[in-house]
Amino acid sequence: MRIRCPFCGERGLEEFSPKGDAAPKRPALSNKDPEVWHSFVHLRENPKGQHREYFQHSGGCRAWLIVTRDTRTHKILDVTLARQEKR
Amino acid sequence: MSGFRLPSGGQIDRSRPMRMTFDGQEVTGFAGDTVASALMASGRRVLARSFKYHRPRGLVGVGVDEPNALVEVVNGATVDPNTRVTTLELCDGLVVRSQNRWPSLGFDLMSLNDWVPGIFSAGFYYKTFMSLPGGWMFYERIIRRAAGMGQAGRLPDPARYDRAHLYCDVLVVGGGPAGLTAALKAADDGRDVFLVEQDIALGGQAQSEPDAAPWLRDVIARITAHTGITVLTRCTAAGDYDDRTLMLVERLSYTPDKGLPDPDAPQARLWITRADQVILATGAMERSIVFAGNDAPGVMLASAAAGYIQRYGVAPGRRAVLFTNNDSGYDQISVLKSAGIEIAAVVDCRPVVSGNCAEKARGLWLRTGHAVTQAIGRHALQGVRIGRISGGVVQGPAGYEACDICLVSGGWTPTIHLSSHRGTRPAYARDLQAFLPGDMDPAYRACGAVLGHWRRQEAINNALELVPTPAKSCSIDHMPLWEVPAAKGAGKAFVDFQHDVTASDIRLAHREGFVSVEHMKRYTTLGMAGDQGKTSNLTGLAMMSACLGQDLPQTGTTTFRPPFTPVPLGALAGPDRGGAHTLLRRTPFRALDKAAGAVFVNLGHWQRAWYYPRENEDIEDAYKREARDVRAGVGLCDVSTLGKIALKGPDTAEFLNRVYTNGWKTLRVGYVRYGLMLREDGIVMDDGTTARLGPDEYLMTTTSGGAGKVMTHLEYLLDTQWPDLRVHVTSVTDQWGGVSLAGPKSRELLQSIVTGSALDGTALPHMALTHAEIADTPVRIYRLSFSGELAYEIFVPAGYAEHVYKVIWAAGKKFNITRYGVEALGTMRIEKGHVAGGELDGRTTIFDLGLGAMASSKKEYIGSVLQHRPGLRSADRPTLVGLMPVDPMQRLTGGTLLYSEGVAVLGPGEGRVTSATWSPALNRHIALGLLANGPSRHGETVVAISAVDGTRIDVTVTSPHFFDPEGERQYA
Repeated sequence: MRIRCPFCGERGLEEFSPKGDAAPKRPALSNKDPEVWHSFVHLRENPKGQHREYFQHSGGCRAWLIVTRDTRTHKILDVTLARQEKR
Repeated sequence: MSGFRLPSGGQIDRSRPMRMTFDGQEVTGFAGDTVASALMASGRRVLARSFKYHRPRGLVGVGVDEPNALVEVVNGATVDPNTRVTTLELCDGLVVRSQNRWPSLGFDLMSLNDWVPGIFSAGFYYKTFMSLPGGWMFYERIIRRAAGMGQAGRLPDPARYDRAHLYCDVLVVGGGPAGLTAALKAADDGRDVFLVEQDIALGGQAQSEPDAAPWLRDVIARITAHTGITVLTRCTAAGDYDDRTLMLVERLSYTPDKGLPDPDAPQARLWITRADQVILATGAMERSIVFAGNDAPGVMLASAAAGYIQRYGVAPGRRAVLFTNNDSGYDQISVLKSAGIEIAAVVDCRPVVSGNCAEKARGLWLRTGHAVTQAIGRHALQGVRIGRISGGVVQGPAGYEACDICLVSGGWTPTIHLSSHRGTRPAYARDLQAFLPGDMDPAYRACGAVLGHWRRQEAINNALELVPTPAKSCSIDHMPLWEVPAAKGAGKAFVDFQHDVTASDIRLAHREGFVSVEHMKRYTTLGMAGDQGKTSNLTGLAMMSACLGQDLPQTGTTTFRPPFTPVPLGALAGPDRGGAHTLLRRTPFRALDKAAGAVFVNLGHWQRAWYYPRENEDIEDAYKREARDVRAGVGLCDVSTLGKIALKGPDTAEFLNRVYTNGWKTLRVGYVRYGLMLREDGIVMDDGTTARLGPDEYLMTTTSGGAGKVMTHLEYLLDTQWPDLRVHVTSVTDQWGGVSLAGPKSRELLQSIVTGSALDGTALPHMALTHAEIADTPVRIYRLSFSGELAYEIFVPAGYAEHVYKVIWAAGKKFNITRYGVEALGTMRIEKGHVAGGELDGRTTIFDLGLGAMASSKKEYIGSVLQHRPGLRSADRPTLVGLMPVDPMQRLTGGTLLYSEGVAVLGPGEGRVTSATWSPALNRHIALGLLANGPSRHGETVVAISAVDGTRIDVTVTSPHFFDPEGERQYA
């Protein structure tokens, strides 16, 4: 698999570390509801098809990326910087 | 009657004889021979014993499709099993051994398997042995010995393997007519082309065609001269992976020029290639026809016979029967005649053949509408029975024709393996009776015979097309014939030679209800493992379809998986083995420690000084002395391995407040604070200190093992969760060397060498830091203690670390300074009850560790909610305690389980010992552990039981702070 890092260009998968689903939104730190935190920390979808995941370019510029991948084909549709994600 | 060397012809160099041994007997041949052609020329017919029945087997093919003739290649102490003789080049000194026979190839006692009716039919092992007393596990050991392949060597592979990465515009797989044409075309278009061919030479099937020679010579000359093409022969494209990443394996030894492997040179090279475009010109393989006794040595593929004659100047026999269901079989007649082989009969199952075929067979006994019904001969073919066939059914009695070779042509099967490695389903072409590559990624193209363009000129024309299209109709007239039904008692008819799967096995699987081809494949083992069904897959599918009474594509196809041909594990590991398997990190003090006689230990990636033995000391003596000397005077320990992370920015205090459990907003410049971090789920992740160097500038230390994890965690939080926080993090672990100077005399020693800062208790209290110089080198001095003694951590830019160390050491002589390693460091931290790796094991909460006071209730932080989940807060969770064996001389071990006195020893116990040591300060064995309701059980006696050796030790539960619990020494 090859990932096009916005800073470094197309690089081999071995330079990247996956972190999984980028969908869960972190609750506010002031939120004290354990159910909300349980859901954020533990519950994940396992989609067939397009999936947005965090990857770090750990063997390169160390930027965290959001990689959109088709889980059926491993085709990578989009790579963006996590820092530029609208929240 | 057997094979022999022809007086002329072939691509061998007759001026360069080569010698090898086969089962201890010398075999000679020439440079350019394969082991197969040399053995054929020597007259040997039986080269192997079959997988289950131990039947004598000879050569069927001339290339990678050879299913029978697998051998062990012996090189000194190492053995490469299951090597195909058809792709192994003859070289001087080669030692080859037949496999799966006992006691010898000619007389194999295991062949009794062949005479017992029903033994080893499909599913036999499981059906028979599962229900017997002792069970499958017992019988499996015996069966695996009787049925099998070669034996893998048991010694480490001494060979070297190379790895290379390759980037190119176009990667062409296959050096036959289509691949050669496609490579030239792409290179003429100005693209950077790599052409890989698994064979010794370029040309593919064209090498076996006499009329192709002039064209082939010309095209090879043009390719060799072209600057845009790099050719790799002896190089197999073994696997296709995501994003046009292919794995190639190039063989670098066992060639006539290089000879046996040179221990100092790589034996093979693994290429990881990334190409913008991949052209699959992988060609096609001839298929056989199933009939009774079709595995007798001497029954082989017609194209293979032509290959041996044309390429190696070897004739496979003297009198042949040609058995075909298609026109391509007739192409071999002229080649056979040129070798002086007598053609006893041409047997064609088609009732009528074209005038062209009749012309090629002129003067021969052409028997249309007939089939070979049975091969006679066990160790060598004696002759074949020939009968009339119509509608796939043999009509009437059969005649007999003596022959020593029976050459079979059952049509062609495209080599589509690579095209389906990534899950693309092959497409069935009814007219071709074959599967073609399915819908591939647009960056992939196929051309030539793999698309059904069988003839050379067709393949060339196809390769020149802008977008090569599959053949629309079959250019070779043929009549489908997968199997000639065997007469009763005629013997076994094999579909898969390599796994001894017979036609009746497939029918048995069908009768027992296996309707899915994937199940049938696993039940019968058809097309599995090393062979990957090269010769058998389609035939097996067709026969299964016939059983089910449905079309072949309805029955399905099986999935081809990498590798195309077996790859040595060593080639996959490449240079990543032994010391190079993982990185090794050394601190700036390595040379000094080595000179001081340190014994090192690898902890994670770090190599650390473990202890410093003096004469006759073992580890026990050394670490006890080191710890004693530190507490009595002063000691120096390398702490460079601590993770160091520089944090900068106006929001750093807020960030630290979120990642640590305790408060950070009140930390003043010039002070250090201890902190604990939790994971998102509330479990303790790591601990360490963070110093405030300036208003917006901090330096964090982590545990040596946790540095990478913490760095990634911080980067993740800042990049993905809180990008609004203005904080920058940088790893500076390698930029700083660090030593801990500990012991009651540490201040006095330091004062004798430090300039630029006062060090007394008022100027530099516990948990404060200062900037100063030692021998003109700027240093940072932290006053903090892991050992419980008055202690300092001194950080020096790594390049000056050795210099500063030497100055400290020289000044320390007066104070009787000692070096201490990680063993003594660990002992002293256990004496103090500090938690470390044994306790921070990814299962413990801050409360389990007795550090609940550090869990701030005035703020929120990572893990602050989930650490209070009921299961994590229950009172009976194992909690940190000290443990003292009732007999102070009894040694405790980490991992020992704790039980109450007098209760049954069942289950995981009530806790466990996490870290244990001899305590020089207390003069007894001590340990830290986690025990249910621990804090309320101080004074109680529990039993520590080793689940490994059953040892029982009575221990008293105590506070974990064994030594100087009030901390008077470190605050001194």
